[in-house]
Amino acid sequence: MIAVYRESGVVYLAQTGADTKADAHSSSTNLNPENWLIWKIKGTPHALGASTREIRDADLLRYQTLFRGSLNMTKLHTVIGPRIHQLLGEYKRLDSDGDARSSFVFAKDDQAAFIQYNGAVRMLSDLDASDYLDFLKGFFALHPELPAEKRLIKALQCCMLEKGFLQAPIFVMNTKTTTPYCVKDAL
Amino acid sequence: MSILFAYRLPDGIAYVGHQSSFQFSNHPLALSDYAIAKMNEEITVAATINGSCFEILTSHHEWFRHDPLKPIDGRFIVQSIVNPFYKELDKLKLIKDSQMDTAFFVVWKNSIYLILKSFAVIEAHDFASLGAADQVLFPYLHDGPMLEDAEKFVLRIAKLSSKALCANKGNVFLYRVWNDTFQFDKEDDR
Repeated sequence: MIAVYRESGVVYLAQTGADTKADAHSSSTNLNPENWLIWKIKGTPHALGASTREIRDADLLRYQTLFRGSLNMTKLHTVIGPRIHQLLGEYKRLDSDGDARSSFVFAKDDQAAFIQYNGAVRMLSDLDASDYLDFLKGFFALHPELPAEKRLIKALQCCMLEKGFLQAPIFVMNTKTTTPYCVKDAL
Repeated sequence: MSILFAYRLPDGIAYVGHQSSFQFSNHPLALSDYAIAKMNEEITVAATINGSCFEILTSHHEWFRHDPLKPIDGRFIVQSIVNPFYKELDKLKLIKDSQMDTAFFVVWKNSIYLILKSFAVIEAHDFASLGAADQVLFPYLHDGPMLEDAEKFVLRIAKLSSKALCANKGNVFLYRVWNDTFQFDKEDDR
């Protein structure tokens, strides 16, 4: 599950480690950002990418410069989406309907968007999630006093508890610093 | 069943495996009999089983050529090794349900990478193992390198896990990558 929040021109991404194969390995393996499903997009400042499910999909995309400049609907439809489709297709990561196994999140500065399994694109509102958005919104509303990143982590932790996720770390990045950050033993 | 896991010991990285197809009175001499291959001076590869996929990966030494001045990283493993390997297996129709028949360990200097059956790449810190072996090993693994005799410890848990996974004789071996030597542990020694 990936949660996304925008505040004061910065987009925050938080992902539950329970999604990743890395979680099945040692906690020190989890600390290596190369194993996470969120990554800094190479060659594009303040840009992040994320895959919601499959680490192989993330492997295929994380070393690519998927876009340069700003992130907007036109670029998502004409550059990023087709490039993802082409890469995943080249390695037979699409099903018979042409759908991907993962959905993807891209963020740049204060903009972020989801590319769904079927290639549909939606620009993000201030708070969004790959799953359980209603729960996330509810928990997020509980702690308006917290700074943005902590508030998002807290809401994601509550979602994990509510939905019975395994104990797992939470991986966090934001478009301002793009520094990977891990909340160990988040539950 | 062959390699069970790669483990960081005090002196370097070792592969630990299980072998039921030969008797220890007649050790095979070739590394490939253990599903281990040296790809160049710095990189070794090991597979969880010895089969077609292992043969194909280890016959393509050119995929492992790298700039000696640059460290090997996830990008190199994915783009120089895994992606061309996928295309070769796909051409030979050796991929079923998007998976190959074995997982691989790649060891470069003190780094351990695991290439899963799904072709996903994990950079491990202390150890990498078969998914199923994790269940058995996990409670034991964290303290292993701290022990005085880490090799004995690793061989012991390899026996435990091979018995649990294979339900047959638990002959295990340890291959020290750093000095190219084996340590055996026979069934009779238990």
